[in-house]
Amino acid sequence: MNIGKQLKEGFITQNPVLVQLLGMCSTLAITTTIANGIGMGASVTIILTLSNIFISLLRRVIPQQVRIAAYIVVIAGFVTMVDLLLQAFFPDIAESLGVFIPLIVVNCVILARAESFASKNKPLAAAVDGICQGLGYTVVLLVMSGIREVLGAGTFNGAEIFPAEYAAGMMALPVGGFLTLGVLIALMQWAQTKVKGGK
Amino acid sequence: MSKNSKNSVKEPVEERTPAPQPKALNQTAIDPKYIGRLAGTLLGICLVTALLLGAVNQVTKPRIDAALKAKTEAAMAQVLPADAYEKVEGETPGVTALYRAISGGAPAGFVAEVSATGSQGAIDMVVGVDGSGAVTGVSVTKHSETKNIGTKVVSDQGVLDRFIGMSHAGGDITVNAGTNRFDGVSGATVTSKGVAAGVNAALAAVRGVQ
Repeated sequence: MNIGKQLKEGFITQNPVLVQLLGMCSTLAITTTIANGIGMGASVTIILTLSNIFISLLRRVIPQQVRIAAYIVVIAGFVTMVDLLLQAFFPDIAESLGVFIPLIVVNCVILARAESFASKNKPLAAAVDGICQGLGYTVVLLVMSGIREVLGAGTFNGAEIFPAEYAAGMMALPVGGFLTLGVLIALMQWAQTKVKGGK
Repeated sequence: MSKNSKNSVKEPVEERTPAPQPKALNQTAIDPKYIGRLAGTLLGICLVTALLLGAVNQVTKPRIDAALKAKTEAAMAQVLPADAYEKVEGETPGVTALYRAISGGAPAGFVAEVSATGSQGAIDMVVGVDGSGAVTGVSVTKHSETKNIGTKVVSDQGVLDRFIGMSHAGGDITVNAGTNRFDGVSGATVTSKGVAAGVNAALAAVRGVQ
């Protein structure tokens, strides 16, 4: 186990959104305000860590042939729990994230980490992997929602930066999500090639 | 086809032998004990998950229900303040629920819960209607309209308040047209029409029970 390496993978070299290109649907849909980004990032990080731990614990119990079904049940269980808890204790976040919380079940970040990491590693390493990948996902959501909220609504985490009349409303729409994500992926690729080229 | 045969003339295609089946897979397909293990493991995981979910639901359900109820009640008090709201029993076509508002022991009108169709999904709203059949207020409790477009209608109480006083005396309310006209928000026509349809449904339901 190597925490430094896993952190680097989660944030940069194997970033779930910008490099592995996983979980695009929720990434594009919910990154309209920073509050949404935090809520979604935290939810995914918690669910990813929990599902990684349990799938790692069960890795010798679950037969190869039914592993995907078993993973989905474990993931869906945690997602439903988080959904219920959010609705009960953070109704505002639950309302603005809406259908995207239940949809975390099919967020491929979680299934991909279960299949490619948790099912082959010890629980502690799987937990660290869940946290690192989850944080990598959250950071990208925060950057995207920051850009889209400032440009699209003229506010930063709810505080007005410039009057909403001058905001490019398009940035809050799916179009703005695709543009922001495309630019970020390109920047990431450019930065990575540059670093590799320098070595 | 012709391209294929040409190729085969030049260099004969290697005869395909069936890919060797992995031995383990064949065995699992026939061993009943192994099938039992597959099903048993899945069943076990499902059972544990279901039990845990049941426990979480026990904790969260009262809070979620209370929050929903408080929200609807606040919306009802906003559109038509009254001492009490009595549910109207029986069929109330077009609306989710219909309540008779009671103020000082006398009926003060009706409050209808309506689920109208917006541009992105359902718009759940509460519409107050007074004894004469005129709208006393509209409040949107849940929606999934596009931010900065549909929300110019459903999240702007000023726009929703334009329905106040409208009735079915001059026929159904129509958006940007007709004599019983509601001025929609430009750019959010579908949402405007959705909300107007909800108000129409509420007015029709109230007429049905009056």
